[in-house]
Amino acid sequence: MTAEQPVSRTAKIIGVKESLVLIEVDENTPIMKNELGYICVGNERLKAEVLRVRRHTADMQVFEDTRGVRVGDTVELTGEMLSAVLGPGLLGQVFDGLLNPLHALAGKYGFFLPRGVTVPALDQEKKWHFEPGVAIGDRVSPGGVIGTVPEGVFKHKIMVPFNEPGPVEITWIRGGNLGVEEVIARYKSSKGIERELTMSQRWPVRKPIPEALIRRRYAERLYPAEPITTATRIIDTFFPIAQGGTGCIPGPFGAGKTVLQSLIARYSTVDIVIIVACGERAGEVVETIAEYPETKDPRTGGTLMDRTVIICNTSSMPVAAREASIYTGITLGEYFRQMGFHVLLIADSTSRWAQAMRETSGRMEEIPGEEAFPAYLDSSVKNVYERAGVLRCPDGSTGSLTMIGTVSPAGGNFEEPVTQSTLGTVKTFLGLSADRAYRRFYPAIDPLISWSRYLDQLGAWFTRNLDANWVRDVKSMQELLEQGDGIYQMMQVTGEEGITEEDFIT
Amino acid sequence: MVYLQQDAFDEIDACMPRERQLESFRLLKGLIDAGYQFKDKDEARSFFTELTSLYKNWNYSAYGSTDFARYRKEIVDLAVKHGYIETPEA
Repeated sequence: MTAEQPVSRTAKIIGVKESLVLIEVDENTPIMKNELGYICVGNERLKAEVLRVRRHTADMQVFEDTRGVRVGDTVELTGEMLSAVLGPGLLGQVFDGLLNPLHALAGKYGFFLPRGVTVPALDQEKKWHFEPGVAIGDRVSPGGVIGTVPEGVFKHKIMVPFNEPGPVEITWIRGGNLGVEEVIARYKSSKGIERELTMSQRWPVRKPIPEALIRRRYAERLYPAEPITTATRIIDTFFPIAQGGTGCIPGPFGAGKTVLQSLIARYSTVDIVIIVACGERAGEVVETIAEYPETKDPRTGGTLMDRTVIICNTSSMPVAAREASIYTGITLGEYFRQMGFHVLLIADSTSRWAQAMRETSGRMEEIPGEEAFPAYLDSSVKNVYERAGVLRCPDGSTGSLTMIGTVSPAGGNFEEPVTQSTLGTVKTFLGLSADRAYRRFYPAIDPLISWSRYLDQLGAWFTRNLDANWVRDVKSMQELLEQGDGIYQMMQVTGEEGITEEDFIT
Repeated sequence: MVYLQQDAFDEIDACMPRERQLESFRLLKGLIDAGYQFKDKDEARSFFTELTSLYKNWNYSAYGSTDFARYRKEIVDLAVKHGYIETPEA
């Protein structure tokens, strides 16, 4: 999309604290919260985002190492929010938290990336065959489809910018093999402004894509009424997750979170998978990156990577980009949902994301909450998960974004703030148990601590598609498991002799 | 245990489609609800150990294969010996 060019301005650095810099502008220069800027250090330009504004000064978090940044250095403010570039070519890619394609970066700069380098998220050279779906004179609503591009097994829909206030009139359109930044159409906006359209558009990552579309009745949020099938019995039967729903997998180190998420990604009944590897160890992420292109996809016959996007911000990468990475992943998920796809986003792990927030919050000297996490941790967690959901898109198709976040509570302590905030937000809790993992139980989901609020919510679906008594039978089985655990505990005290034969059979 | 646990490294057991889950769950529910008769706890233990092994083998067999049908029949035959009555729903 070609939009009006934002006005760029400059500021000066007046303080540096780790990845946080304090900047000052002159009296007539406004600064916007979440505005993107570049710290100029010699020939390097370090990407940064405004976090807090106070009159003529602002705190910016820098997404790179701040070594060598000095008071007096210049900051270029872009007037743009931190945004993701959306368009064909995202699938099968591995990005960092700011949507830099890592393979392309390594190809250009080598494996040891210098500071301040960027590569466009979408391949600028590649040609895509655009097939128009509308004609000159047609009126298309914001988010409406003007044509498609084949991308692997999918048809990637090219849509009218989501932030248009009303229907646009197509004044010119062309098809053929074109690059992502080439003009494919022109339209007149509802305010009579002529604009050009390319296959890509930018969207601020912290703002939900469908927000304005829903407000203006071009899209509609639907109540999740179908489960996703993960092909893992304990989840599908006892602790189902709705398509467009939310779930979390808390578990201590070594309990099998990564194996479980990998299998969920592989076998779930979703079209597109987005993995946000957030603050995990590099070795673990490398395993995922190496494994996915080799893993046969049971749904398409290709590889799992063909319909996957990996956003990767390991524990060794700058902490500020880790905080942003989860929003980048969600924005991609929302973008594919707008096309009517069913998307699964797995965030591994939200604890590391929260730790990144804690670091930044500490540097900003905000009043700390429990365990020094920021006081707004709970609302931040909720803001993230509430972007999941089922949506009726402007073209009438239905898409969904299902979110599963893993949580890594230190020492397996589920009482810590991140786990507790997550539990108050998600509707499925798949608690992994170190004890079960130690006893080689896979998946190590403990049925006695896990729960799902979707079992009743999806009752009608289960009745229609499985069995009229499904929910009742599952609940009776859960009761039996609890009963069995009680008897097992009793046996630990009294021995086998102390219980009746009936209890023994249970 | 035979239902809650899955083998992540076995191609068949790692991925159980919904219809197979339904079949497995129905059989399991029937087996659990049955009123078994055992002489003593040793006989009960022996029965459940054997049943567990057969059920695991059933989980590992490809859906619709001859092994799949055979293990299912062996599970039912074993349970019938101890008082299980197979119903059409199971």
